[in-house]
Amino acid sequence: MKVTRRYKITINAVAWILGIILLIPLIALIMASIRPFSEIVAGWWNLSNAHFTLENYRTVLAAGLWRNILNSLLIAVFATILPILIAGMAAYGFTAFSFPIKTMIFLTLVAIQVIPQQAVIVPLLKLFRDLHMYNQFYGIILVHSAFALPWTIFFLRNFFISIPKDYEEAARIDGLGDIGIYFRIILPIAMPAVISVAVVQFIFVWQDLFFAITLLRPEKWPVSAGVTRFISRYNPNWGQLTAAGVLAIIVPIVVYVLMQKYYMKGVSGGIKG
Amino acid sequence: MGRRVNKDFFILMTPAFILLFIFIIYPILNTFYLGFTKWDGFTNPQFVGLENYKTMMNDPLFWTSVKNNLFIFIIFLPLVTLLGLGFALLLHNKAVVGRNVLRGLVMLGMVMPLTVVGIVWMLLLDPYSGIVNKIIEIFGGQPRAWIQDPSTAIYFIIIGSLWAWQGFTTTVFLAGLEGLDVEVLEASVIDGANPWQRFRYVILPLLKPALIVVVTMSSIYILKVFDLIYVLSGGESIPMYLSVLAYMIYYEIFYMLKWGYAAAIATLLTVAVFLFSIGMLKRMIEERGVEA
Repeated sequence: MKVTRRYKITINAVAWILGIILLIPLIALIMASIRPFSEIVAGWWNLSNAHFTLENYRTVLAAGLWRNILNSLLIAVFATILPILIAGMAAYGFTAFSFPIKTMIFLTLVAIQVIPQQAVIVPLLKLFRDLHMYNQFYGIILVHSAFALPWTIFFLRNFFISIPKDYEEAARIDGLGDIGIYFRIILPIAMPAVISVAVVQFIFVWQDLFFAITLLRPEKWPVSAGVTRFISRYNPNWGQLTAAGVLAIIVPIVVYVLMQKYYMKGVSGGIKG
Repeated sequence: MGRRVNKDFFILMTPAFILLFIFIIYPILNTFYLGFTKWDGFTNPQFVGLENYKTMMNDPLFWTSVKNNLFIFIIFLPLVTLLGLGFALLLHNKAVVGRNVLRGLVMLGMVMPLTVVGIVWMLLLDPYSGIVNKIIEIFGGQPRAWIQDPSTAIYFIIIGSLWAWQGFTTTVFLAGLEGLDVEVLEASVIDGANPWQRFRYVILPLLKPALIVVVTMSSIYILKVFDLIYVLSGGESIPMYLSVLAYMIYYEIFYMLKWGYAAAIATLLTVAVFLFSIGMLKRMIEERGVEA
């Protein structure tokens, strides 16, 4: 297709104006976090007589937000590694074996992908109380892991079935069992898919609010929930609120920037595999 | 065709099924049952039949929640679909410079916690410190207290959800466009198709699978909307006029101690989510098959 100069200029202008509109919220968040309250109320975009300060960051970290960030890291790291390990094994089981009611089990798995967190919370709260899992990090990690399984198994299985059977057969002749084949042959080949799943799951867990506030007490809240402590509907302290917001998004944004390609693959996996 | 099961098969499958059973399958079946009980979470649940569902029909909070869910849904769904389609067409266009950076900007709202998205939009929509009012003033409009005014607060939820979720719809459409055959497009140009015909007859049919995923996932996403309402409740008041089903479940559990009632609402929400997913789930199975 021929691309005229005018077309090129127009489409770039449209794209970049939209891009800047999408960027404004982030600029607002950062600007409000590094300026004194009086200047935010006068408009964070107003740059005449601007002063910059890190005071808000110091205040929110001292108020315990650093703990929330550590909690987030702990929960998100383990709630990423554990389900991938388990889902990969099950996905290989689905790929390599035939068994009765396989279709039914697989259909159930596909269907429970869409279950809302609210659908399980009432019995989970009772279960957590009975098993003394309430307010324990391992409790919420296990729940996040379980919720990750349906889509990760589906995603990884779709990748596994694209791996040629020759690899497997060669390994079998060399005397490897199924578990050996999974860990030594399949998993290394599937690394790109595993990383995609890991990035999506890590960011997803980092964002979670509902399980965090229902299964943990505030001192163990991840940062997604921790920032809400600074919210006040009628009298907001913008500096502290936005500084907390910036601190809460640094990790997922860095992960996204470094892993952009894998993240996109993971997110669109439902249709592309 | 796969192999027959052996000991290794059970070692591979067992951990996943234990986790799924304890934390998803058992709880969800239990929720269905508890929806027929009266229960405060501490004593023993009492079976009361359809009592909770009858209560619901006469509960103003329930109808407020349903109404809000519907209102948000009706505005959100077409907008998020069109935004995603528009961004995807732009980002797919080779004439656009710096597409990777733009892609990052589109995804910005999607990679941060919704609570922070809430903070961002509280700031943007603030009557004093917000840039939205400033822009409205420049164009000669009337500034408003968007969030504090009960008649407009719901738009905060819609706009926050849009900014957060259009990254997903864009990504899915972009993946769909990857399969776009340049030759087919060129042939259609040579055949004299105008841009609209090209979109309608070449691009749109190609995007149908992506469209199904977008519409389904966006429906589910917005039916489950919770975080942004919780953000508004942070601090001094619970804005009940903004309640949605997911928020009501939380409210009935933690403020009213009506766990049986909460389970009944959760059952309803789950059924709604499933109804919206059937089309997509069927397609996923048809495409991928269930046999390896």
